Amino acid sequence: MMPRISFPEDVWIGGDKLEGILWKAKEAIQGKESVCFEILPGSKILIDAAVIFLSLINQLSAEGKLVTIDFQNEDSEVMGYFNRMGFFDHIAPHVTILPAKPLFSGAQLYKKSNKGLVEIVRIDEDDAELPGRLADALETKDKKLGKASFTIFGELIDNVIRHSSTKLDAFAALQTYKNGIMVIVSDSGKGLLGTLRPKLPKKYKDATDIEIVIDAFEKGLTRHRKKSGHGCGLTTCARKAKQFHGKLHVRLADTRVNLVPADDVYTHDTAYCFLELLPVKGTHITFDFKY
Amino acid sequence: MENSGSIKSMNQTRGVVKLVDLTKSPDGWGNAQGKEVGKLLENFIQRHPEIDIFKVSFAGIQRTDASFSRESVVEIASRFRTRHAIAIVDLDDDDLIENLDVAADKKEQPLFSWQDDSWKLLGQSPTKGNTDLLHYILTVAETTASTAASALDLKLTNASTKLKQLWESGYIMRREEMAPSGGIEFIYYRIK
Repeated sequence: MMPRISFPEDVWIGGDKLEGILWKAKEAIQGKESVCFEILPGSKILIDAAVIFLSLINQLSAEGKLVTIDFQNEDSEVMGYFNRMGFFDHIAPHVTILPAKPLFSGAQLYKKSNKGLVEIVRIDEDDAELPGRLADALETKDKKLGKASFTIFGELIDNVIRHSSTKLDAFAALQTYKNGIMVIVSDSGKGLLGTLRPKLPKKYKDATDIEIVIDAFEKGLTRHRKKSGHGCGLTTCARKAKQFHGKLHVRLADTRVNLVPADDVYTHDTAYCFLELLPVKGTHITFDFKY
Repeated sequence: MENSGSIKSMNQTRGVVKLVDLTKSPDGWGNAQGKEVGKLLENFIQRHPEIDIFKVSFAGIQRTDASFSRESVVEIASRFRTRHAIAIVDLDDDDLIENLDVAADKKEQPLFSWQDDSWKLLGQSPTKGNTDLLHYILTVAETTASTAASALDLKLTNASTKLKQLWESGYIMRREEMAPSGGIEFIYYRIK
């Protein structure tokens, strides 16, 4: 029997909550050839959870699993929101959408009409204007944050283009909320630790994921030689985020590291980590800024 | 006064490169665009072997990231270190400064950003022992080892070693001139 995994109603589902849902269903998702995600009409899903969920669905489909997403009702608000974000534009073709996939893409229809919401965008190395487009949406709300976010998007998208090494699509998105802004870049590639760990100096041999993630953002780890100057991308992202007291969430293969700045530094003392999560390929980095 | 006359030798013609002319856009991001722009800057420098210091103007540039800053400017400054130098001008945006600073720091390639006569060092500071000497050169514009030794009360060999270290590390430039005694001496000068 196909396992059904339910997203609860009346509670906001962000990245952390999504991990809880997936962790409970870990065996069902890994062990079966087909899986159904049941998203109740009253579910409220934040942009980071929506994008990571999209990447996961595409990964499961690429592995040959039969994936169904059941929204239960065509008038489902969450389905309308997903459509507006372009979720269905980027979903793998063999995924079944119930009751039915929307006939028209809300993202295509209303493209760029809402400055606070940028549709989920596929990362394309030929799209030289992508970081600028994403940052422009923020500059209308907060000029300084918009400018800083250009650097964040530029570095993260560049990392995806250079390191992810996969045919699966990677995505970027942002959304402004009443009390803040969330931006996410998600790919289904080798993952930050997958590319970094084998090339790190011996002193990192026994380092935990959380230690490597913190050093990658605070010190700038690189797989290149020391004087190459590489490794400055993530440190610059972290610097910008800290200037705006942004929280940083990094979802890796089976861990999620949440970093909260304390005195302008991301440290172990204010970091927490979810371990042994459902395996998800790639690197999924979220910056969470509160007004 | 005689010395200052010799400053304006042929190899000190200044070349100005507007970065926005190379990016063709007010925005620059990522390794790929950085490398493209860096190649254009490198070609420009190679076409002008007579110029020792190139001024790279950030006028018209609105947004960058650190990877672009590294590949377009810092990498090229590092590649030509001791032969040609890059001085940054028209850069007063905190975000752009920070991105260039992080890249210069990681690459261990110092850069000076100038606004009229005031300067900002991007990247790593020199060693403590060389800092006074660097500040002295930034103030007087150029010096010889013997002049610096007298001004800062250093032994001549010590001043000479420190100047060479600053030159090799990319903080200053130097040229050879005929000394009054008839021998060759090095004139060390600021990157402006």
